[in-house]
Amino acid sequence: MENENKGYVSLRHIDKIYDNNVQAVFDFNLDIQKHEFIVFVGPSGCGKSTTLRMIAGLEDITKGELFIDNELCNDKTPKDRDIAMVFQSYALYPHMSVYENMAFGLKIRRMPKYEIDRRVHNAARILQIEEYLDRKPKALSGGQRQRVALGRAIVRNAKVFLMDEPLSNLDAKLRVQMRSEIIKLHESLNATTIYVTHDQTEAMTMASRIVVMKLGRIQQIGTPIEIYNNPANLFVAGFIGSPAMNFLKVKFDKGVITMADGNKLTLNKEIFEGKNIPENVIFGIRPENIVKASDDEKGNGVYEVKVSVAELLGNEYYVHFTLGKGEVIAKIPAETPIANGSMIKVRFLLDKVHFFDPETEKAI
Amino acid sequence: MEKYYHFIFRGKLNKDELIEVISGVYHKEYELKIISNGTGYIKAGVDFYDSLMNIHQIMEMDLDCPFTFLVSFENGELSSMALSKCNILFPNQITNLSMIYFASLMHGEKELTNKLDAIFLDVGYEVIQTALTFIECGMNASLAAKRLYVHRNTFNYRLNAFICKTGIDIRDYDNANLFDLYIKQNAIK
Repeated sequence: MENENKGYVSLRHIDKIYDNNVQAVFDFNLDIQKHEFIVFVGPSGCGKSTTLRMIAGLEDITKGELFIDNELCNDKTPKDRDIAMVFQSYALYPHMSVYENMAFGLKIRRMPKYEIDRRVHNAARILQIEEYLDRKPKALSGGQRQRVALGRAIVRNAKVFLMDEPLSNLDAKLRVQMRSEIIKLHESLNATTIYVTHDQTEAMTMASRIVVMKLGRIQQIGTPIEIYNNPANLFVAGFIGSPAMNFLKVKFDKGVITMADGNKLTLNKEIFEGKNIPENVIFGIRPENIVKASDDEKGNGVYEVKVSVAELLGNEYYVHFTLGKGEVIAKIPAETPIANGSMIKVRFLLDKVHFFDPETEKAI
Repeated sequence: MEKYYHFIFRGKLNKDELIEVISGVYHKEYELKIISNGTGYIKAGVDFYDSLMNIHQIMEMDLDCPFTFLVSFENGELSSMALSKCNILFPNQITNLSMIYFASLMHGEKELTNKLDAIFLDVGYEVIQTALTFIECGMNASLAAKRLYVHRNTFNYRLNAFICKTGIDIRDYDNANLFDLYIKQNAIK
């Protein structure tokens, strides 16, 4: 019965324990629908690449079940899983031409030459690398090499594309460009893609759903906006968003929070009503939800602060200051100059605040 | 200088396909041997290491076969033992023998040290001292010869004697590192 209504790729209670007894993945459960673009995101060592390699068949699954297109794949060889993988290193065979690099995986599978030729030219057309087919990898730029690496995956006509940090080796400008190209590619191929990254910006911009991981455990699964607006715990709240959400240890009493320096904030009723907020609680607010107030503005949620550092990014400042005995960052439009050491007034947007239990770290 | 690239693989491996993969990345002479229990080795130049690092992942995908590699100076029991440890500690990676030795020391294991003891058993004090000084001088032969108050030719002769007796060419960084670790753990012991 458990197999009913499962996704196109379904991971059920997956554990990965290495021979040295190190457990890399704990009870991983996820149903991925056909044509979804799923992103696994988390810091180094969180188990995202291990999970991807288990889906690819390059790592054994210690416990649990993996289904791809309704077929149990635990014991299937990588070849029989019908998946294609793109790696971080955008590695290519240096002594083979672009054409040979793209054709190699198919040649090994004894595919007829005419079919290999058709697939390679089709992939080259999609990726706009037809004119480079005779070139060797060393004659290509980083971006072109990454396209060839994608081409090696496309020619397989696989059911599922697995991408392991494919943009990490590219420079910042190229990464932004390739990000949109991969999304377009995913849409044009109507593929099911599982993409691993440690870059939360990539996760937010590319994913139809994000899986946030930490220390081998899923922290939250949701659409980018769900995860951004309603983080399940302190880790997710701090990991997703740049700069990270501000956290302050505060005391809560009857709808009023008191910060460590005595500053108070009266909350909107809908924020705390029906919630069991403990007396000692962690208060969170994103930098973009702290706005600059006018000099004569007073009242609830308005604070006069001394700017320790104002980082100008062109269109906005990251303004650093101390409040509630904690370091706080606000994202403020660069309409008027803000100098280091100056006094400014900021206002907290009262409907955009978060609370976390200090013991369980779960969102309240 | 040649090295042994020992490997453990899972699944079915076709030797001809592996040869095709290697020819896509390495055009110099090499020797490939696949042993029936899922292991094998490639004997090739030190420059094969970079090529292998470059294609390790796509090679796994193309051959549908995950590989764990150990890079070693020899093809005996020491490497065989280290390869098994490598498969446990660094599965699906390419690891040098000195790294495995370091990990085994960290875990308080003695098997690899015992194997190395056997290699250095019959090597004379003067030859060991030459090798040690070479390492201490940052692998600078001229400096090491000066430090030992011997002619450069004498130094070369003794260093070659060390390499011939042990099989460990310490002009290679990883081999030097292995010898250095062995000497240091002996000093602590």
